[in-house]
Amino acid sequence: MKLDLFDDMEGLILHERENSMGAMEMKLNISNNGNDSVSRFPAKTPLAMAYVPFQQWGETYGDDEALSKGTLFPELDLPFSGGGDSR
Amino acid sequence: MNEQKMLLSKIKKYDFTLKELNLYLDTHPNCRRGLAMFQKYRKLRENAVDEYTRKFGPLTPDQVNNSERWTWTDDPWPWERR
Amino acid sequence: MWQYEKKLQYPVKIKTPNAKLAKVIISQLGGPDGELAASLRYLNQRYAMPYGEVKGLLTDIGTEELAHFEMISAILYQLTKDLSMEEIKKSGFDTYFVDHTTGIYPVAASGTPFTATYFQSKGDIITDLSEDMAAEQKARTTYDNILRLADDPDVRDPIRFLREREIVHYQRFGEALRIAQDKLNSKNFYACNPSFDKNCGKV
Repeated sequence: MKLDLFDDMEGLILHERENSMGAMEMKLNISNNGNDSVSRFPAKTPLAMAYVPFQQWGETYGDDEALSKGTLFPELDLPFSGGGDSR
Repeated sequence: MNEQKMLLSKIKKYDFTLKELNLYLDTHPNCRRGLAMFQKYRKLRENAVDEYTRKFGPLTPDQVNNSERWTWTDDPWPWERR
Repeated sequence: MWQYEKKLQYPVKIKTPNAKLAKVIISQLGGPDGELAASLRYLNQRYAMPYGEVKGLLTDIGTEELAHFEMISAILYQLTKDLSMEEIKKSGFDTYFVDHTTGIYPVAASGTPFTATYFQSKGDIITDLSEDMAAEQKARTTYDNILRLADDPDVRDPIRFLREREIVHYQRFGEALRIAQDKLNSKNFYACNPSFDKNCGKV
């Protein structure tokens, strides 16, 4: 099977990274809301290491909904749809 | 739902919010908004637990306020169908 | 030290016993990617961590996993408490029943008893956090599979909750790894092990 989907693999990865947090933000290591010194993504991402984006403070569920969903943060609310109706 | 169940349910919601903030703050120790929300829920939780233990019994052994009987071991226990 | 609070983190109210479901859900109790393995993994790894944020996170998530270990036990207790002998024989639960009746004992769905070989504590922060991230994904996939197998909404509800917790934990371990990277030399994260070597940090 011939797989030549991406002519420019390196370029593709670089574009994905730049689009996910903004190239300028990445270069300047800017943090959101001035409440954290760790940026969403580090300016330098050397090879042979895993990087998870740093959560920035944003929307939160009310305490009722948070317990019911299993998280306070809508950004982390990632339900499973494979098993049919979740409730 | 009776008053005991409603109050316990409230405590679980507060505790969960506090736990989520706890884990978040472990990796974001300087986040002002997270810290403020934590303090708000800490007080809500303290009041709810005070009321619950006064009316319905202990959630931890040190909360037993009964000088006649050791109520900590009373049924039901949390894993039982109530 | 530990304190116990006499309440479940999230309610478990199962009305219908189900031995077949109990047979698979028990993997989250005593299986390789279950809550007991998770708890012991994190609580054991925390001692070798060089940074307070990570010691705190491993302690706090390790403690939460004990509460999840309790929830799975509650689910199994309620699924098996009023089983008839006919159900026990028909469902294949008889092989667990013969050794444990309806007592709770940590095994995997295959019947293999819990073992410390299900987790590692390598004494290297990057290695241990990588293991932790993998562990949370493995647990999540196991919960996905339980959701595929369980129709009872009383069972799906706490399982859904436990599954979501794994995703949140994954994010936090990822952040802990970022914190570790921040404190190490980005020219070579692997030059030394900050959990063991002195002067192993940013140049």
